Amino acid sequence: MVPGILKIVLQSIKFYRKPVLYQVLIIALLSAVITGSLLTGRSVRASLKKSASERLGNTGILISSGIRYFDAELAQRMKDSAGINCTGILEINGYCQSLSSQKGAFNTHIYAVNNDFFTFNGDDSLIINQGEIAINKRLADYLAVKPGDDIIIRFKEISDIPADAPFAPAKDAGKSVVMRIGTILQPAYTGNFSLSISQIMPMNVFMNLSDLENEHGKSLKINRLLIDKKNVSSLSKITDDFKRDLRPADIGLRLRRVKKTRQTELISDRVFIDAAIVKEISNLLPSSAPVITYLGNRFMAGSRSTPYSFVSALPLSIYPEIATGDDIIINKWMADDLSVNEGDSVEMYWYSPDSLNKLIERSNRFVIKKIVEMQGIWSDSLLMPDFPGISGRESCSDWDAGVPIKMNEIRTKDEAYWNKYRGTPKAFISYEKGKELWGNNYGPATALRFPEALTEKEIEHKLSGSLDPRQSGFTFTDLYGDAIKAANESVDFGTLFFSLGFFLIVASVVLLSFAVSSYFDSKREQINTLFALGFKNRWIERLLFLESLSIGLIGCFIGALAGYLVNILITRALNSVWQGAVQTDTLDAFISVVPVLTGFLITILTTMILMMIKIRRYLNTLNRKEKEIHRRPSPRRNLLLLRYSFILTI
Amino acid sequence: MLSIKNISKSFIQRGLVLNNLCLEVTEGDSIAIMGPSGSGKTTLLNIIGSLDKPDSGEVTFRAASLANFTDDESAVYRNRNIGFVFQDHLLLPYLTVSENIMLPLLASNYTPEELSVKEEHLKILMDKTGITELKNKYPFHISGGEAQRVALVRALANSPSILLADEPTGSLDAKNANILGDLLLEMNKEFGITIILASHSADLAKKMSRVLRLDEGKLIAEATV
Repeated sequence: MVPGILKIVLQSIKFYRKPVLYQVLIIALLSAVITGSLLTGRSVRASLKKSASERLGNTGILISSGIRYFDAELAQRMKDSAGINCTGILEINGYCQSLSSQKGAFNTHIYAVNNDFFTFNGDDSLIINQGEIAINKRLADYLAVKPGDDIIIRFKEISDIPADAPFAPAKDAGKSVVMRIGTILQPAYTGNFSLSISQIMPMNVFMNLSDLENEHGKSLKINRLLIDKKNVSSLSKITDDFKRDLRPADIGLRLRRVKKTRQTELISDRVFIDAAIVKEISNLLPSSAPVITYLGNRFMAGSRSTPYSFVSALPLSIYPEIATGDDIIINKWMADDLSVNEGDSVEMYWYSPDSLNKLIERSNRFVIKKIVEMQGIWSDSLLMPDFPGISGRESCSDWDAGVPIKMNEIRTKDEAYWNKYRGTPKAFISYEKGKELWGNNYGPATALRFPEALTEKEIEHKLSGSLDPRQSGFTFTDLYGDAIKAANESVDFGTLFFSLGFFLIVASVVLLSFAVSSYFDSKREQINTLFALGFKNRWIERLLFLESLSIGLIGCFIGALAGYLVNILITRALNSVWQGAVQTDTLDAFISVVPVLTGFLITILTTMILMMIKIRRYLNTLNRKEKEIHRRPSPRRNLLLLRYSFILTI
Repeated sequence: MLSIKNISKSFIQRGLVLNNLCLEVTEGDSIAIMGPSGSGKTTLLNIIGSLDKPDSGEVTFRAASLANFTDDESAVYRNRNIGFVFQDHLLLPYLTVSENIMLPLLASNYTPEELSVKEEHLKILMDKTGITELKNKYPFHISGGEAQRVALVRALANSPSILLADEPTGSLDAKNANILGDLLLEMNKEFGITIILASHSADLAKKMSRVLRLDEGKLIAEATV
């Protein structure tokens, strides 16, 4: 039976198994480095995407109010009006400690959620009962706790008023609650939920939002609104939908009727109203007028002093009689207390935060333009903002004004004034002067007043859907898109390790060149015999090509498998000793067809190009015979070179 | 059948090896070429077998000049008309005896019918040379003499016109050398194959009808061997 070319190829490979094995190993090394590098690149990106997916759940767009809070009812309104699947959460940082193990964890992410949070993330079965919490596995491992254990959670008090705003009540150490662990959440079940871009696995606590409500006895407030990624058409559409549904009350703006002046007033839960909002409202309702009321430490006239008095800076547009510049109007009570008359001067002192938020006592001298009776518009107790530490207090001694109060300076008559008139301002200056003296980073007004002609309903209607949420501190982020983009644009570890492995690749190619030369030289007589037997050059070239291709395919196949092992090793190293490079320890070694196929093809192509060059040169050398002086091929020399190169490579 | 006219061949390292050499070979000739090592015997056989080309002069085979052959035509010429037997058998070690023998047929593009005729012919030759029993063995499992007989049958696979044997008994003992010599002679007589062999062996040479000595690049007829 005449042997076919494939049989000759296979028999030859079988017979020369040792030199073939050298070539296979070198090609496998080449393939493993290339495939392993490409797989690592794919693994890092796939891990980052998986991690992003685990972190974000179904969150597509995040609407965040930063350090402010807004009404949770807004989420429901978005659902109803825009047909968007969304959920509102309260995200705060805190500290957790296990009561059993006594282990504590700082910088814990606390998510106060409604029961629709887990439904939103695709898990209908999970519900956090009141008084219970769910924690993620990392926190459970860190605290060495299990379901049924109690942990204490500490966090800063949630307040609409920024901690460093003027007259913010003094902060205590925060709030503490003891909760029972109901569930430990695995990463695949929203356990590693996080809205930050960090790759570090978070330590999470999920609690029922109503537990916080009960604690504070206030209406629910949240600071994050999560929009389902499946509903996301565009960021601008979501922004428009949100703006359309935004009402003044959602951002803590309230309207109230001022009986004394018959005006309507807009005040803020944050006390001060942001400059941007003041400007926006004045554009929408040009008849609005800002008011700023501030607490003076004392008024001095000669040796006489009146402590702790509110002073209002009023707009000329709705208070035509108001003084301008350094002129001041004081009420009869203060005039009597200071024994001053119109035309006299008084010195006002007040606290103001400097650039480092340190309270500095400042002062200004005013000339008394007018002394008014405490009636009508001059007896308007609503001019005093709702300072949380002052409003509603029975006595001046109960004040928690956020500034030092010298209780010994408060006289019986001052307490009597408080009892009778509460925070009714005792003095009045122009709004422009007040803004100059007391305007701050948190806003230039404590209220906006509207003319009598404008009703609450009209104002509410005008402002609803018209206020730009971004002016109120809202940010809109395509979190999922950004996370995927970040994962895609992360450091290309495939190229990185490909470059790092370049020496091995070059060394492998050189080694392979020697190995092939050595192999062909050992077959020289057989190839000459084939010539003598009448085989054509093309046929011999095909024979050598098929043999090389078979060797290459075996090497590449083994290398592709070894590449996966290389991928596992590199991924483990990135999770441990090289963690600084990726800032995460959650990388998985993924197997993927594209990089394996790419590595396989690159290697087989490189190998076959090299083999074809070697085959052509080899056959040319054989055809040259003894016409030219050429170095006689030496299998022994090639084998020695091969061994030295191999040792050097290792 | 084969005409060699004034061929010369020189090598940079060895100088002039063949010098205006002439030789006429007729069908059924058996020629022994003798001469010391390096005298150009192998070069002459290579030129006849179109494995090498002369610097000058002409070799014609049945009126066709070998110089005009393309590489492919040279390959066909070797496959159909020339049989080579080398000093070392040069069998492919990874093929069995029978596969080695059939190997030249692979290069011939025969039809299945032609192929079965050739295979039958080879079976007869294997019987004649006493290697039928070895057909499934590999070259490294058989003796030098057996391997050389296998090489002879392989050379005769395509029923060539000329058998070129380069030191065919060089690596054999006297007994095997004698057996191979007799076989060559038998092939010459029975099948009319022209034999041109290069050898140092006077015993082998005297079995041939003509004995020529290659001296200073020219062939001189030997009166006695």
